[in-house]
Amino acid sequence: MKTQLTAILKAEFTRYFTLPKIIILSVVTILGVLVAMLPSWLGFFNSEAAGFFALKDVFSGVLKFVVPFSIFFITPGIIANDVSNFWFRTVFSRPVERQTVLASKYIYASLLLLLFTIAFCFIPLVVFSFTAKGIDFNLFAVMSIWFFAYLEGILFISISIWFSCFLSKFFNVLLLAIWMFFDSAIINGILANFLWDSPMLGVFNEFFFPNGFANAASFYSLKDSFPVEQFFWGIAALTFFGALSYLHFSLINIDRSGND
Amino acid sequence: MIKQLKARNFLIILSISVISFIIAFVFYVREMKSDIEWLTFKKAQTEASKTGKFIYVNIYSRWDANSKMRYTTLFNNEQVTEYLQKEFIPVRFNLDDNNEKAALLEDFGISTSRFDFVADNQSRILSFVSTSTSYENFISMLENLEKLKINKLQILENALSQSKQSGKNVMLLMSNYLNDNFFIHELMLNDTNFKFAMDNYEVAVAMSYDKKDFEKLKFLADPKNENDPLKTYQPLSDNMFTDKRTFSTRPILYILSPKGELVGKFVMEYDVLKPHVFIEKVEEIIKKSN
Repeated sequence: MKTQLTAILKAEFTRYFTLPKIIILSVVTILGVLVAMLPSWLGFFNSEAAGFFALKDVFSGVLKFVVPFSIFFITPGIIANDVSNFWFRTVFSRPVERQTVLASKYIYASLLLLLFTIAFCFIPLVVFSFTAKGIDFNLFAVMSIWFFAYLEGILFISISIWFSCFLSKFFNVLLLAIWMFFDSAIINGILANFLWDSPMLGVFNEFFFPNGFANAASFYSLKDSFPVEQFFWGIAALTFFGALSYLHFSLINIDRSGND
Repeated sequence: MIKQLKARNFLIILSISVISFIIAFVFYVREMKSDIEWLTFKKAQTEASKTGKFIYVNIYSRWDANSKMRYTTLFNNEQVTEYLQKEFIPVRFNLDDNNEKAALLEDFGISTSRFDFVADNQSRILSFVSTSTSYENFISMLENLEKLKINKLQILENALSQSKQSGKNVMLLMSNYLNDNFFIHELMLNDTNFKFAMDNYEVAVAMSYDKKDFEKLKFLADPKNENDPLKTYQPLSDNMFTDKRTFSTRPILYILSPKGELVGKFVMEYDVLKPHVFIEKVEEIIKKSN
């Protein structure tokens, strides 16, 4: 199984990393580094405001933005495209178990996400910490926030994989984006501002979208202790959507093309 | 196709999900705890007038995510507990209790648990407090607020009765919104301004958004000015982001005779913070009145 997994992963990465994509990734990383150097060039660290600057809060904020966007680039049609272009039929013509292929999808998407967060968040952050005079760089705090944000990304991957089992093309990420939009704009905006004192809606607000790991990252950036409740909400959601994707992936008809 | 499903693996993943859900749910429904000794507002008022300490008001609701966050990140932190207990008088209003909700609305005109606030020893709101922050930032915010305690600045009644004895006029610094409190603080932090005010006047501070203060001050309203904040009472809004005063108000300085009659007034624009401008402006209105 290990050899099969490695072979499928190799094929996935070869298919994904075309030259234009490598160029775009490099350019965006360089842009990120330049943006990270801006505060130093603009003399921010000599101002009084620098005293109120918390590196971990900024890192947590950047991750909140980078992780979902990375998912929108990594996972469109992650399963559906491989059904419609008969890639799965080719793969399953050999004695490969479905769970091996599903595992390869998870590992491939997670490794890409890791690469994206290193390129767009961690490298700019390291450059920023070198240019920032007097700003405390707590590696453990940064790594902990990264850990929770990364788990949130894996949760998004599992939701996206599940959606892609029954939605064609890029509609899996579109649905995920709509769900996220409703959570941040409609639920947080309207409920939190106008119906905040309704206990029922308060509970609904918390359970509308699985935010466990994201809340864990925010919690950790506010209070340097392990966010047990948020972590377990995250694990419950991750494994729940993992189980759904496992079930649906087993039910996919690999002989149907996208044009059916 | 379902044959492809390894039922055992599927059940293992689902069980982990259910167990995690149960653990998280137990944490979710447990009562929020804190070692802070929250007083009732009435007790806090007595304590505040005795000690001169400010009152920290926490607004709590069982199912509100902000309230929960405050307890998990701030109020069960040892340093926060110690600091609040030592330097402030902590009060808690439980919005799930209808009596407490009504009391909060009556005392402060507030009915939301979106933010906590700090009130002075006269129970007037000085500032809302952002609690979505680390405990270090929270303590440093409260330390900054504590600086608003400017020694010897008093309430209007005390200043007027002192004025009758000393024969000095009363300088009343009137704040029309929360940010004005910080402006007055900044103004009086300047030693020259502070000495000038204290040597020549009985100095008092008042807040037009506080109902009790408003009732005492409304006689100073300018009938010709529609925008005079003393014309009609405007309580603090539940939503500071939609309150028009957040970015538009300025504090006003009134000079009153020992009898309580208006001698002169001016709106304190930012230039008042420049050296000597404050003193020149006060002297100018005194000259005009003569």
